[in-house]
Amino acid sequence: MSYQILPYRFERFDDEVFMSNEVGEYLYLPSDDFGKFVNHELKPDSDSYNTLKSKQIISDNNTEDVLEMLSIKYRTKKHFLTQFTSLHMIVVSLRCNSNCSYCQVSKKDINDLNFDMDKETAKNVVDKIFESPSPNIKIEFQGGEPLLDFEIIKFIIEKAEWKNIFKKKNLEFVICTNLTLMDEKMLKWLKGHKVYISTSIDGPLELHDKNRPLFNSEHSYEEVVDKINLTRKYLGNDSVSALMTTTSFSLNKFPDIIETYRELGFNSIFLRSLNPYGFAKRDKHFLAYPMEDFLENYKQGLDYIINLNLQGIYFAEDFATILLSRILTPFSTGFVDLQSPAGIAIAGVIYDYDGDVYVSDEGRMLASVGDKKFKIGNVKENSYQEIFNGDYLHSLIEQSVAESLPQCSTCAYLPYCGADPVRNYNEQGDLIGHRPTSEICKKNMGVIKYLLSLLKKNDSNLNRIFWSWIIRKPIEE
Amino acid sequence: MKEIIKKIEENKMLLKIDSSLYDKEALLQASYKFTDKCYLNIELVDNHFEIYFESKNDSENLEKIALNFGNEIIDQQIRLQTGREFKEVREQLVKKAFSSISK
Repeated sequence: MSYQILPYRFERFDDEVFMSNEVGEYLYLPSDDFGKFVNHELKPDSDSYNTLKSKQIISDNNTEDVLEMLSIKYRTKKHFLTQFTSLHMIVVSLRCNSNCSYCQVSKKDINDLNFDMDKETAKNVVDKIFESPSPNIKIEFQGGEPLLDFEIIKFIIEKAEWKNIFKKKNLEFVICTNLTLMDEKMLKWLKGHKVYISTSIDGPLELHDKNRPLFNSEHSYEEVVDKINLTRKYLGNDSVSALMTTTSFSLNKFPDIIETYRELGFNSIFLRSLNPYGFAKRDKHFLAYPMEDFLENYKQGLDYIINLNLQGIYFAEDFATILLSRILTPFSTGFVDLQSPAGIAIAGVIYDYDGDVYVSDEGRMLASVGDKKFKIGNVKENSYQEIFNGDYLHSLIEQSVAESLPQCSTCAYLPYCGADPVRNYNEQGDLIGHRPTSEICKKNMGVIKYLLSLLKKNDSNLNRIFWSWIIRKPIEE
Repeated sequence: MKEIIKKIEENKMLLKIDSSLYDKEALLQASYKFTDKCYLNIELVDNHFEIYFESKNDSENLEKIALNFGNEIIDQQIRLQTGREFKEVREQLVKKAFSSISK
Protein backbone atom coordinates (compact mmCIF):
# COMPACT_ATOMS: atom_id res chain seq x y z
CA MET A 1 0.00 0.00 0.00
CA SER A 2 1.36 3.43 -0.87
CA TYR A 3 1.45 6.21 1.67
CA GLN A 4 1.62 9.96 1.69
CA ILE A 5 4.47 11.57 3.66
CA LEU A 6 3.13 14.43 5.79
CA PRO A 7 5.14 17.40 7.13
CA TYR A 8 7.95 16.25 9.40
CA ARG A 9 11.52 17.11 10.33
CA PHE A 10 14.34 14.83 11.41
CA GLU A 11 17.74 14.77 13.10
CA ARG A 12 20.13 11.90 13.73
CA PHE A 13 19.91 11.01 17.43
CA ASP A 14 22.40 8.48 18.77
CA ASP A 15 22.03 5.51 16.41
CA GLU A 16 18.45 6.31 15.52
CA VAL A 17 16.56 9.05 13.74
CA PHE A 18 14.52 11.53 15.76
CA MET A 19 11.44 12.67 13.85
CA SER A 20 8.93 15.33 14.84
CA ASN A 21 5.76 16.37 13.08
CA GLU A 22 4.56 19.93 12.58
CA VAL A 23 3.06 20.09 16.08
CA GLY A 24 5.95 18.52 17.98
CA GLU A 25 4.76 14.92 18.36
CA TYR A 26 7.82 12.76 17.96
CA LEU A 27 9.24 9.30 17.56
CA TYR A 28 12.54 7.52 17.00
CA LEU A 29 13.04 5.34 13.96
CA PRO A 30 15.86 2.83 13.41
CA SER A 31 18.14 4.18 10.64
CA ASP A 32 17.26 1.28 8.31
CA ASP A 33 13.57 1.96 8.63
CA PHE A 34 14.13 5.65 8.07
CA GLY A 35 15.71 4.82 4.73
CA LYS A 36 12.73 2.65 3.84
CA PHE A 37 10.33 5.38 4.98
CA VAL A 38 11.95 7.96 2.69
CA ASN A 39 11.81 5.58 -0.28
CA HIS A 40 8.19 4.57 0.39
CA GLU A 41 9.25 1.01 1.10
CA LEU A 42 7.90 0.58 4.63
CA LYS A 43 5.65 -2.44 5.03
CA PRO A 44 2.16 -1.55 6.36
CA ASP A 45 2.37 -4.29 8.99
CA SER A 46 5.66 -3.04 10.44
CA ASP A 47 5.94 -1.30 13.82
CA SER A 48 7.63 1.71 12.25
CA TYR A 49 4.79 2.13 9.76
CA ASN A 50 2.18 2.12 12.49
CA THR A 51 4.12 4.46 14.73
CA LEU A 52 4.60 6.92 11.88
CA LYS A 53 0.92 6.70 11.10
CA SER A 54 -0.07 7.28 14.73
CA LYS A 55 2.20 10.34 14.85
CA GLN A 56 0.58 11.61 11.65
CA ILE A 57 3.80 11.61 9.67
CA ILE A 58 2.37 9.23 7.10
CA SER A 59 -1.16 8.72 5.95
CA ASP A 60 -2.50 5.97 3.70
CA ASN A 61 -6.20 6.45 3.14
CA ASN A 62 -7.65 9.40 5.00
CA THR A 63 -5.25 12.28 4.50
CA GLU A 64 -8.02 14.86 4.61
CA ASP A 65 -9.13 13.77 8.10
CA VAL A 66 -5.54 13.62 9.31
CA LEU A 67 -4.94 17.10 7.98
CA GLU A 68 -8.04 18.37 9.76
CA MET A 69 -6.76 16.96 13.06
CA LEU A 70 -3.25 18.31 12.54
CA SER A 71 -4.56 21.76 11.73
CA ILE A 72 -6.53 21.84 15.01
CA LYS A 73 -3.39 20.86 16.92
CA TYR A 74 -1.38 23.44 14.99
CA ARG A 75 -3.87 26.15 15.91
CA THR A 76 -3.61 25.10 19.56
CA LYS A 77 0.19 25.28 19.41
CA LYS A 78 0.01 28.78 17.95
CA HIS A 79 -2.69 29.90 20.36
CA PHE A 80 -0.45 32.63 21.74
CA LEU A 81 -1.07 34.55 18.51
CA THR A 82 -4.71 35.05 19.46
CA GLN A 83 -3.70 36.53 22.84
CA PHE A 84 -2.13 39.64 21.27
CA THR A 85 -0.70 41.19 23.61
CA SER A 86 -1.07 39.85 27.16
CA LEU A 87 2.16 40.86 28.93
CA HIS A 88 2.68 44.61 29.30
CA MET A 89 5.87 45.63 31.08
CA ILE A 90 6.19 49.17 32.38
CA VAL A 91 9.50 50.74 33.40
CA VAL A 92 8.29 53.13 36.08
CA SER A 93 11.81 54.30 36.93
CA LEU A 94 15.31 53.61 35.75
CA ARG A 95 16.68 54.64 39.14
CA CYS A 96 17.93 51.75 41.24
CA ASN A 97 19.23 51.13 44.73
CA SER A 98 20.91 47.91 43.63
CA ASN A 99 24.37 47.75 42.17
CA CYS A 100 24.16 44.38 40.37
CA SER A 101 27.30 43.28 38.59
CA TYR A 102 25.32 42.24 35.51
CA CYS A 103 22.73 45.06 35.40
CA GLN A 104 21.18 44.61 31.97
CA VAL A 105 19.30 47.90 31.85
CA SER A 106 22.16 50.29 32.65
CA LYS A 107 20.39 51.67 35.73
CA LYS A 108 20.51 55.34 36.69
CA ASP A 109 21.55 57.18 39.83
CA ILE A 110 19.13 56.76 42.71
CA ASN A 111 18.60 60.52 43.03
CA ASP A 112 18.11 61.33 39.34
CA LEU A 113 14.36 61.90 39.10
CA ASN A 114 14.61 62.57 35.36
CA PHE A 115 14.31 58.83 34.84
CA ASP A 116 10.92 58.40 36.52
CA MET A 117 7.71 57.97 34.53
CA ASP A 118 5.35 60.96 34.85
CA LYS A 119 1.59 60.67 35.25
CA GLU A 120 0.73 61.83 31.74
CA THR A 121 2.95 59.10 30.26
CA ALA A 122 1.55 56.53 32.69
CA LYS A 123 -2.02 57.43 31.70
CA ASN A 124 -1.14 57.04 28.03
CA VAL A 125 0.48 53.67 28.73
CA VAL A 126 -2.64 52.36 30.48
CA ASP A 127 -4.83 53.62 27.62
CA LYS A 128 -2.66 51.75 25.10
CA ILE A 129 -2.65 48.58 27.20
CA PHE A 130 -6.42 48.43 27.23
CA GLU A 131 -6.61 48.73 23.46
CA SER A 132 -4.95 45.31 23.32
CA PRO A 133 -7.42 42.66 22.07
CA SER A 134 -6.13 40.03 24.50
CA PRO A 135 -8.66 38.94 27.14
CA ASN A 136 -5.77 38.46 29.58
CA ILE A 137 -3.72 41.44 30.67
CA LYS A 138 -0.72 41.16 32.94
CA ILE A 139 0.92 44.47 33.87
CA GLU A 140 4.46 43.97 35.09
CA PHE A 141 6.32 46.81 36.78
CA GLN A 142 10.01 46.91 36.02
CA GLY A 143 12.98 49.15 36.63
CA GLY A 144 15.49 50.18 37.76
CA GLU A 145 13.87 49.48 41.06
CA PRO A 146 10.14 50.17 40.67
CA LEU A 147 9.48 50.58 44.38
CA LEU A 148 11.53 53.80 44.25
CA ASP A 149 8.44 55.31 42.65
CA PHE A 150 5.61 53.53 44.42
CA GLU A 151 3.22 56.44 43.84
CA ILE A 152 3.26 55.91 40.06
CA ILE A 153 2.70 52.17 40.57
CA LYS A 154 -0.40 52.98 42.64
CA PHE A 155 -1.54 55.48 40.00
CA ILE A 156 -1.20 52.89 37.21
CA ILE A 157 -2.90 50.10 39.16
CA GLU A 158 -5.85 52.31 40.07
CA LYS A 159 -6.12 53.61 36.51
CA ALA A 160 -6.01 50.08 35.09
CA GLU A 161 -8.57 48.78 37.57
CA TRP A 162 -10.91 51.65 36.70
CA LYS A 163 -10.62 50.97 32.98
CA ASN A 164 -11.13 47.28 33.57
CA ILE A 165 -14.54 47.88 35.12
CA PHE A 166 -15.65 48.48 31.54
CA LYS A 167 -13.18 46.27 29.62
CA LYS A 168 -13.56 43.21 31.87
CA LYS A 169 -10.19 41.62 31.14
CA ASN A 170 -8.48 39.04 33.34
CA LEU A 171 -6.20 41.63 34.91
CA GLU A 172 -3.26 41.00 37.19
CA PHE A 173 -0.16 42.87 38.30
CA VAL A 174 3.41 41.84 39.00
CA ILE A 175 6.09 44.01 40.57
CA CYS A 176 9.62 42.97 39.66
CA THR A 177 11.60 44.24 42.60
CA ASN A 178 14.68 43.57 44.67
CA LEU A 179 12.22 43.91 47.60
CA THR A 180 14.68 45.81 49.82
CA LEU A 181 12.43 48.90 49.85
CA MET A 182 9.19 47.02 50.49
CA ASP A 183 7.46 48.04 53.73
CA GLU A 184 4.26 47.30 55.60
CA LYS A 185 2.53 50.42 54.32
CA MET A 186 3.10 49.38 50.72
CA LEU A 187 2.04 45.81 51.43
CA LYS A 188 -1.18 46.94 53.13
CA TRP A 189 -2.05 48.87 49.98
CA LEU A 190 -1.04 46.05 47.62
CA LYS A 191 -3.11 43.54 49.60
CA GLY A 192 -6.28 45.12 48.23
CA HIS A 193 -5.18 44.58 44.63
CA LYS A 194 -4.25 41.54 42.54
CA VAL A 195 -0.50 41.98 42.83
CA TYR A 196 2.26 39.37 42.70
CA ILE A 197 5.91 39.94 43.48
CA SER A 198 8.81 38.71 41.37
CA THR A 199 12.17 39.13 43.03
CA SER A 200 15.73 37.99 42.46
CA ILE A 201 17.73 35.47 44.45
CA ASP A 202 20.99 34.43 42.86
CA GLY A 203 21.95 31.83 45.44
CA PRO A 204 23.34 31.54 48.96
CA LEU A 205 24.28 34.69 50.90
CA GLU A 206 27.85 35.02 49.65
CA LEU A 207 27.01 34.48 45.97
CA HIS A 208 23.89 36.65 46.05
CA ASP A 209 25.77 39.51 47.71
CA LYS A 210 28.58 39.22 45.18
CA ASN A 211 26.17 39.41 42.23
CA ARG A 212 23.62 41.79 43.70
CA PRO A 213 25.07 44.28 46.21
CA LEU A 214 23.16 47.47 47.03
CA PHE A 215 24.38 50.94 46.03
CA ASN A 216 25.20 51.69 49.66
CA SER A 217 26.01 48.24 50.99
CA GLU A 218 27.83 45.09 49.95
CA HIS A 219 25.04 43.03 51.48
CA SER A 220 21.48 42.52 50.30
CA TYR A 221 20.68 38.83 50.85
CA GLU A 222 19.39 39.04 54.42
CA GLU A 223 17.33 42.11 53.64
CA VAL A 224 15.71 40.36 50.66
CA VAL A 225 14.95 37.24 52.71
CA ASP A 226 13.33 39.32 55.47
CA LYS A 227 11.19 41.10 52.89
CA ILE A 228 10.17 37.86 51.19
CA ASN A 229 8.83 36.70 54.54
CA LEU A 230 7.11 40.02 55.21
CA THR A 231 5.50 40.00 51.75
CA ARG A 232 4.25 36.46 52.19
CA LYS A 233 2.70 37.50 55.51
CA TYR A 234 0.59 40.17 53.80
CA LEU A 235 0.02 38.84 50.29
CA GLY A 236 0.10 35.09 50.85
CA ASN A 237 2.63 32.30 50.48
CA ASP A 238 2.27 32.04 46.72
CA SER A 239 2.57 35.77 46.15
CA VAL A 240 6.36 35.79 45.74
CA SER A 241 8.40 34.15 43.01
CA ALA A 242 12.11 34.53 42.42
CA LEU A 243 14.51 34.43 39.50
CA MET A 244 18.20 33.64 39.47
CA THR A 245 20.87 34.73 37.03
CA THR A 246 23.97 32.67 36.41
CA THR A 247 27.24 34.59 36.38
CA SER A 248 30.68 33.03 36.19
CA PHE A 249 30.65 33.09 40.02
CA SER A 250 27.60 30.78 40.03
CA LEU A 251 29.24 27.97 38.08
CA ASN A 252 29.73 24.73 40.03
CA LYS A 253 27.35 26.05 42.69
CA PHE A 254 23.98 25.01 41.26
CA PRO A 255 23.19 22.49 44.04
CA ASP A 256 23.83 25.21 46.65
CA ILE A 257 21.66 27.65 44.71
CA ILE A 258 18.87 25.08 44.48
CA GLU A 259 19.12 24.38 48.23
CA THR A 260 18.86 28.11 48.92
CA TYR A 261 15.59 28.22 46.98
CA ARG A 262 14.29 25.26 48.94
CA GLU A 263 15.28 26.82 52.27
CA LEU A 264 13.41 29.97 51.28
CA GLY A 265 10.26 27.96 50.66
CA PHE A 266 10.20 28.01 46.86
CA ASN A 267 9.19 24.83 45.06
CA SER A 268 10.84 25.65 41.75
CA ILE A 269 13.79 27.46 40.24
CA PHE A 270 14.57 28.83 36.77
CA LEU A 271 18.22 28.07 36.06
CA ARG A 272 18.87 31.07 33.80
CA SER A 273 21.97 31.84 31.82
CA LEU A 274 23.27 35.39 31.66
CA ASN A 275 21.55 37.65 29.12
CA PRO A 276 24.30 39.59 27.33
CA TYR A 277 22.86 43.11 27.60
CA GLY A 278 23.91 46.27 29.45
CA PHE A 279 26.65 45.81 32.05
CA ALA A 280 26.48 42.02 31.47
CA LYS A 281 27.73 42.64 27.94
CA ARG A 282 30.17 45.39 28.93
CA ASP A 283 31.75 43.24 31.66
CA LYS A 284 31.45 39.88 29.96
CA HIS A 285 35.18 39.29 30.35
CA PHE A 286 34.61 38.40 34.01
CA LEU A 287 30.87 37.74 34.24
CA ALA A 288 30.24 35.56 31.20
CA TYR A 289 31.28 31.99 30.40
CA PRO A 290 31.16 29.63 27.43
CA MET A 291 27.66 28.25 26.81
CA GLU A 292 29.12 24.74 27.08
CA ASP A 293 29.94 25.50 30.75
CA PHE A 294 26.40 26.66 31.41
CA LEU A 295 24.98 23.55 29.78
CA GLU A 296 27.20 21.32 31.87
CA ASN A 297 26.07 23.12 35.04
CA TYR A 298 22.45 23.09 33.90
CA LYS A 299 22.51 19.31 33.42
CA GLN A 300 24.10 18.82 36.84
CA GLY A 301 21.49 21.13 38.38
CA LEU A 302 18.65 19.32 36.64
CA ASP A 303 19.99 15.93 37.76
CA TYR A 304 20.22 17.27 41.32
CA ILE A 305 16.59 18.43 41.17
CA ILE A 306 15.44 15.13 39.68
CA ASN A 307 17.14 13.33 42.56
CA LEU A 308 15.29 15.51 45.07
CA ASN A 309 12.04 14.50 43.40
CA LEU A 310 13.04 10.84 43.45
CA GLN A 311 13.39 11.23 47.23
CA GLY A 312 9.79 12.44 47.37
CA ILE A 313 10.52 16.18 47.47
CA TYR A 314 8.47 18.12 44.92
CA PHE A 315 10.70 20.73 43.28
CA ALA A 316 10.69 21.81 39.62
CA GLU A 317 13.08 23.44 37.18
CA ASP A 318 11.12 26.05 35.26
CA PHE A 319 12.97 26.07 31.92
CA ALA A 320 12.68 22.29 31.70
CA THR A 321 9.01 22.55 32.63
CA ILE A 322 8.35 24.98 29.77
CA LEU A 323 10.18 22.77 27.29
CA LEU A 324 8.55 19.57 28.56
CA SER A 325 5.14 21.20 28.18
CA ARG A 326 6.02 21.97 24.58
CA ILE A 327 7.37 18.46 23.98
CA LEU A 328 4.67 16.45 25.75
CA THR A 329 1.47 18.48 25.46
CA PRO A 330 -0.46 20.00 22.56
CA PHE A 331 -0.54 23.40 24.24
CA SER A 332 1.39 26.57 23.57
CA THR A 333 3.34 28.15 26.40
CA GLY A 334 3.43 31.82 27.22
CA PHE A 335 7.22 31.99 27.40
CA VAL A 336 8.18 34.94 25.19
CA ASP A 337 11.64 33.65 24.26
CA LEU A 338 10.39 30.43 22.67
CA GLN A 339 7.78 31.55 20.16
CA SER A 340 7.60 31.43 16.40
CA PRO A 341 6.97 34.04 15.21
CA ALA A 342 8.92 35.60 18.04
CA GLY A 343 6.92 36.87 21.00
CA ILE A 344 8.07 40.44 20.26
CA ALA A 345 5.07 42.71 20.88
CA ILE A 346 2.81 39.69 20.24
CA ALA A 347 3.29 37.99 23.59
CA GLY A 348 4.90 40.86 25.48
CA VAL A 349 5.79 44.51 25.07
CA ILE A 350 7.58 47.07 27.23
CA TYR A 351 6.91 50.77 27.86
CA ASP A 352 9.96 52.73 28.95
CA TYR A 353 9.81 55.51 31.56
CA ASP A 354 9.61 58.15 28.79
CA GLY A 355 6.78 56.44 26.91
CA ASP A 356 8.92 54.80 24.27
CA VAL A 357 7.59 51.37 23.35
CA TYR A 358 9.94 48.46 22.66
CA VAL A 359 9.16 45.02 21.31
CA SER A 360 10.70 43.29 24.32
CA ASP A 361 12.59 43.85 27.54
CA GLU A 362 15.82 43.04 25.70
CA GLY A 363 14.87 45.66 23.08
CA ARG A 364 14.81 48.37 25.72
CA MET A 365 18.01 46.98 27.27
CA LEU A 366 19.68 47.73 23.93
CA ALA A 367 18.10 51.18 23.93
CA SER A 368 19.60 51.85 27.35
CA VAL A 369 23.03 51.71 25.71
CA GLY A 370 21.93 53.92 22.82
CA ASP A 371 20.56 51.53 20.20
CA LYS A 372 16.84 52.09 19.61
CA LYS A 373 16.53 49.51 16.84
CA PHE A 374 13.54 47.86 18.53
CA LYS A 375 11.55 50.97 19.38
CA ILE A 376 8.11 50.73 17.74
CA GLY A 377 6.66 54.04 18.88
CA ASN A 378 5.85 56.30 21.80
CA VAL A 379 2.60 56.26 23.75
CA LYS A 380 2.31 60.05 23.65
CA GLU A 381 3.08 60.45 19.97
CA ASN A 382 1.59 57.39 18.29
CA SER A 383 -1.77 55.66 18.17
CA TYR A 384 -2.22 52.02 19.14
CA GLN A 385 -2.56 51.13 15.46
CA GLU A 386 0.64 52.95 14.57
CA ILE A 387 2.58 51.18 17.32
CA PHE A 388 1.18 47.67 17.09
CA ASN A 389 0.09 47.45 13.48
CA GLY A 390 2.85 49.47 11.86
CA ASP A 391 4.97 48.37 8.94
CA TYR A 392 8.08 48.29 11.11
CA LEU A 393 6.71 45.78 13.62
CA HIS A 394 5.33 43.73 10.73
CA SER A 395 8.78 43.56 9.15
CA LEU A 396 10.43 42.61 12.47
CA ILE A 397 7.93 39.81 12.99
CA GLU A 398 8.26 38.59 9.42
CA GLN A 399 11.94 38.09 10.03
CA SER A 400 11.32 36.11 13.21
CA VAL A 401 9.38 33.14 11.89
CA ALA A 402 11.60 30.20 12.81
CA GLU A 403 9.94 28.03 10.16
CA SER A 404 11.64 30.21 7.54
CA LEU A 405 15.01 30.87 9.20
CA PRO A 406 18.20 29.18 7.94
CA GLN A 407 18.79 25.88 9.76
CA CYS A 408 15.75 26.39 12.03
CA SER A 409 13.42 25.64 9.10
CA THR A 410 14.65 22.06 8.89
CA CYS A 411 15.47 21.52 12.59
CA ALA A 412 13.52 18.67 14.18
CA TYR A 413 13.48 20.55 17.51
CA LEU A 414 11.79 23.61 15.99
CA PRO A 415 8.32 22.86 17.44
CA TYR A 416 9.84 23.23 20.92
CA CYS A 417 12.00 26.26 20.18
CA GLY A 418 11.51 29.78 18.82
CA ALA A 419 13.07 32.81 17.21
CA ASP A 420 14.72 35.69 19.03
CA PRO A 421 15.59 38.50 16.59
CA VAL A 422 16.64 40.88 19.38
CA ARG A 423 19.18 38.39 20.71
CA ASN A 424 20.37 37.63 17.17
CA TYR A 425 20.86 41.32 16.50
CA ASN A 426 22.62 41.92 19.81
CA GLU A 427 24.98 38.97 19.51
CA GLN A 428 25.43 38.57 15.78
CA GLY A 429 24.53 41.89 14.21
CA ASP A 430 21.41 40.99 12.25
CA LEU A 431 17.85 39.87 12.92
CA ILE A 432 18.16 36.51 11.19
CA GLY A 433 21.31 35.46 13.05
CA HIS A 434 23.84 32.77 12.21
CA ARG A 435 22.74 29.49 13.73
CA PRO A 436 26.04 27.58 13.64
CA THR A 437 27.62 30.18 15.95
CA SER A 438 24.50 31.20 17.87
CA GLU A 439 24.84 30.89 21.66
CA ILE A 440 21.10 30.80 22.17
CA CYS A 441 20.72 28.00 19.60
CA LYS A 442 23.49 26.11 21.37
CA LYS A 443 21.72 26.51 24.70
CA ASN A 444 18.20 25.68 23.55
CA MET A 445 19.29 22.70 21.49
CA GLY A 446 21.54 21.46 24.30
CA VAL A 447 18.74 21.53 26.87
CA ILE A 448 16.11 20.12 24.49
CA LYS A 449 18.36 17.21 23.50
CA TYR A 450 19.17 16.49 27.15
CA LEU A 451 15.48 16.40 28.05
CA LEU A 452 14.78 14.15 25.07
CA SER A 453 17.56 11.81 26.13
CA LEU A 454 15.93 11.59 29.59
CA LEU A 455 12.51 10.95 28.07
CA LYS A 456 14.03 8.30 25.81
CA LYS A 457 14.86 6.23 28.90
CA ASN A 458 11.12 5.71 29.27
CA ASP A 459 11.58 5.53 33.04
CA SER A 460 8.20 5.67 34.77
CA ASN A 461 9.58 7.48 37.84
CA LEU A 462 11.24 10.11 35.69
CA ASN A 463 8.13 10.55 33.55
CA ARG A 464 6.01 10.94 36.68
CA ILE A 465 8.34 13.72 37.87
CA PHE A 466 8.20 15.52 34.54
CA TRP A 467 4.41 15.38 34.44
CA SER A 468 4.23 16.67 38.02
CA TRP A 469 6.21 19.70 36.85
CA ILE A 470 3.90 20.26 33.90
CA ILE A 471 0.77 20.15 36.09
CA ARG A 472 2.66 22.07 38.79
CA LYS A 473 1.87 19.76 41.69
CA PRO A 474 3.04 16.41 43.02
CA ILE A 475 1.42 13.35 41.48
CA GLU A 476 -0.12 11.22 44.20
CA GLU A 477 0.76 7.53 44.24
CA MET B 1 36.79 7.66 -0.31
CA LYS B 2 40.35 8.96 -0.77
CA GLU B 3 39.61 9.81 -4.36
CA ILE B 4 36.99 12.39 -3.44
CA ILE B 5 38.67 13.89 -0.38
CA LYS B 6 41.99 15.53 -1.02
CA LYS B 7 44.23 17.38 1.38
CA ILE B 8 45.56 20.50 -0.32
CA GLU B 9 47.49 22.20 2.45
CA GLU B 10 47.77 21.70 6.20
CA ASN B 11 44.49 23.51 6.84
CA LYS B 12 42.78 23.06 3.46
CA MET B 13 40.77 20.15 2.15
CA LEU B 14 38.92 19.51 -1.08
CA LEU B 15 35.78 17.40 -1.32
CA LYS B 16 34.31 16.43 -4.69
CA ILE B 17 30.65 15.54 -4.93
CA ASP B 18 28.72 14.31 -7.97
CA SER B 19 26.44 17.22 -8.88
CA SER B 20 23.83 14.96 -10.49
CA LEU B 21 23.01 13.41 -7.09
CA TYR B 22 22.27 16.56 -5.15
CA ASP B 23 20.37 19.80 -5.53
CA LYS B 24 22.18 23.09 -5.08
CA GLU B 25 19.82 23.88 -2.16
CA ALA B 26 20.93 20.73 -0.32
CA LEU B 27 24.56 21.65 -0.90
CA LEU B 28 24.04 25.14 0.48
CA GLN B 29 22.04 23.92 3.49
CA ALA B 30 24.79 21.46 4.33
CA SER B 31 27.52 24.06 3.81
CA TYR B 32 25.77 26.52 6.12
CA LYS B 33 26.01 24.07 9.02
CA PHE B 34 29.81 24.02 8.77
CA THR B 35 30.36 27.78 8.60
CA ASP B 36 31.22 27.88 12.30
CA LYS B 37 34.24 25.64 11.81
CA CYS B 38 35.41 26.43 8.26
CA TYR B 39 35.58 28.90 5.47
CA LEU B 40 33.92 27.21 2.50
CA ASN B 41 34.29 27.85 -1.18
CA ILE B 42 32.16 25.96 -3.71
CA GLU B 43 32.75 25.58 -7.41
CA LEU B 44 30.92 23.63 -10.08
CA VAL B 45 33.50 21.88 -12.24
CA ASP B 46 32.18 19.66 -15.04
CA ASN B 47 29.77 17.33 -13.27
CA HIS B 48 31.14 17.83 -9.76
CA PHE B 49 30.73 20.25 -6.94
CA GLU B 50 34.17 21.04 -5.56
CA ILE B 51 33.96 22.13 -1.97
CA TYR B 52 37.08 23.70 -0.48
CA PHE B 53 37.27 23.67 3.32
CA GLU B 54 39.68 25.93 5.16
CA SER B 55 39.65 25.51 8.91
CA LYS B 56 39.07 28.57 11.08
CA ASN B 57 41.37 27.22 13.77
CA ASP B 58 44.10 24.62 14.01
CA SER B 59 42.23 22.24 16.28
CA GLU B 60 39.67 21.24 13.63
CA ASN B 61 40.03 17.82 12.03
CA LEU B 62 39.32 18.70 8.41
CA GLU B 63 39.14 15.16 7.14
CA LYS B 64 36.46 14.34 9.70
CA ILE B 65 34.62 17.52 8.78
CA ALA B 66 34.67 16.57 5.09
CA LEU B 67 33.38 13.08 5.92
CA ASN B 68 30.60 14.52 8.05
CA PHE B 69 29.78 16.91 5.24
CA GLY B 70 29.20 13.92 2.99
CA ASN B 71 26.61 12.59 5.43
CA GLU B 72 25.07 15.99 6.02
CA ILE B 73 24.40 16.62 2.34
CA ILE B 74 22.56 13.29 2.14
CA ASP B 75 20.32 14.35 5.03
CA GLN B 76 19.73 17.73 3.43
CA GLN B 77 18.81 16.11 0.13
CA ILE B 78 16.31 13.86 1.95
CA ARG B 79 14.78 16.92 3.61
CA LEU B 80 14.51 18.60 0.25
CA GLN B 81 13.02 15.61 -1.53
CA THR B 82 10.47 14.63 1.10
CA GLY B 83 9.78 18.33 1.66
CA ARG B 84 8.68 18.65 -1.96
CA GLU B 85 6.29 15.78 -1.39
CA PHE B 86 4.50 17.41 1.55
CA LYS B 87 4.92 21.09 0.60
CA GLU B 88 1.34 21.45 -0.51
CA VAL B 89 0.00 19.55 2.51
CA ARG B 90 1.94 21.85 4.85
CA GLU B 91 0.53 24.94 3.16
CA GLN B 92 -2.99 23.55 3.46
CA LEU B 93 -2.41 22.65 7.10
CA VAL B 94 -1.34 26.17 8.08
CA LYS B 95 -4.10 27.73 5.98
CA LYS B 96 -6.69 25.49 7.61
CA ALA B 97 -5.34 26.16 11.11
CA PHE B 98 -5.77 29.90 10.73
CA SER B 99 -8.90 29.86 8.55
CA SER B 100 -11.15 30.91 11.43
CA ILE B 101 -8.88 33.89 12.08
CA SER B 102 -8.53 35.01 8.49
CA LYS B 103 -12.31 35.07 7.85
